Amino acid sequence: MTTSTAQLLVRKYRWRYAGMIGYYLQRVTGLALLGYLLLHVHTINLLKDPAKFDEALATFRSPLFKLAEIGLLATVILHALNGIRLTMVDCGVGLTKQRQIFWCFAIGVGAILFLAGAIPMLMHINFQGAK
Amino acid sequence: MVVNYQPRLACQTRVETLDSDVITVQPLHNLPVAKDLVVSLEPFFEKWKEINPALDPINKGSKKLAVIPPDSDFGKEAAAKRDCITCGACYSACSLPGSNKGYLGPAAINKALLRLLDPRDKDVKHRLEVLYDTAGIWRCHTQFNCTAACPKGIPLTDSIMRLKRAMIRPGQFNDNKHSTTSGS
Repeated sequence: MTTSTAQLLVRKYRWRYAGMIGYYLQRVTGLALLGYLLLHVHTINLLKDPAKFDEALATFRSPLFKLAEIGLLATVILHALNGIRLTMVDCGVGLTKQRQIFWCFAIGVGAILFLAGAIPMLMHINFQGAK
Repeated sequence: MVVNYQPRLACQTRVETLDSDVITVQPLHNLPVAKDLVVSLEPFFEKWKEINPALDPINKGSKKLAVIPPDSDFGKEAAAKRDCITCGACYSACSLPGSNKGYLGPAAINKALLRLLDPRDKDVKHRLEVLYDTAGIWRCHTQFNCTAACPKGIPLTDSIMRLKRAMIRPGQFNDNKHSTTSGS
């Protein structure tokens, strides 16, 4: 079986070029958080009209938005932990260990934190009452 | 040359180390292709020239040998950073020259740092002006691609971060020179 391009790229980025994954991850999660922030500000702005605000809150209680909240949790954790890694790099701390910090701290610790938060959130979603 | 999607020294890359039954070869990225796999390193060396890579001696007419002891601060810091062979692998691996043609690139920045730290050199102001620019050190997005690609194992991102930290505390290269050149 021939070695595919995908295999070669996975081999490249999984370790040696891990910093590049961290870079993309920070950009994508940053943009996602910006989108969330705009939605949040827009919703708060709806307080001018209480009826519209209640309507918006009812929409956010739907299972789809609850699942999106779990996605938001993952986004916040990844952005925060990778941000700590980048701050450390900027301060000259752990420059030679940045790959280990990325995989073990940003991804590893991040996954644990995500599961600790996502599982209870998932258990509280009421799929029966979905609109 | 880019071998299996990674910039490497083709002359030192053994097929068995690639662990692949397919070998893809490409010309270096971010540099104009002259022919087939041959690229022109001109843009790379244009950036190199911008930072004035040659030593600009403080004591130009001096016949006294300016010795840098290996255990001095500069000697220790330079040991890991002075082995650049200007192969262009870091410039090819970095994603930023693709979006900003003016970006100095990791090799030139590393060379500038070595000159700035060198107690025998006096061209501090010009180099700092070139580095303190959106096409200088501030363009780096800490992707570590240069460090990953460097066949000599030079911690290039470390050099760029070192300069970024130095820029927020102006004057330290000048101070460094005044305190270390008296003996040379």
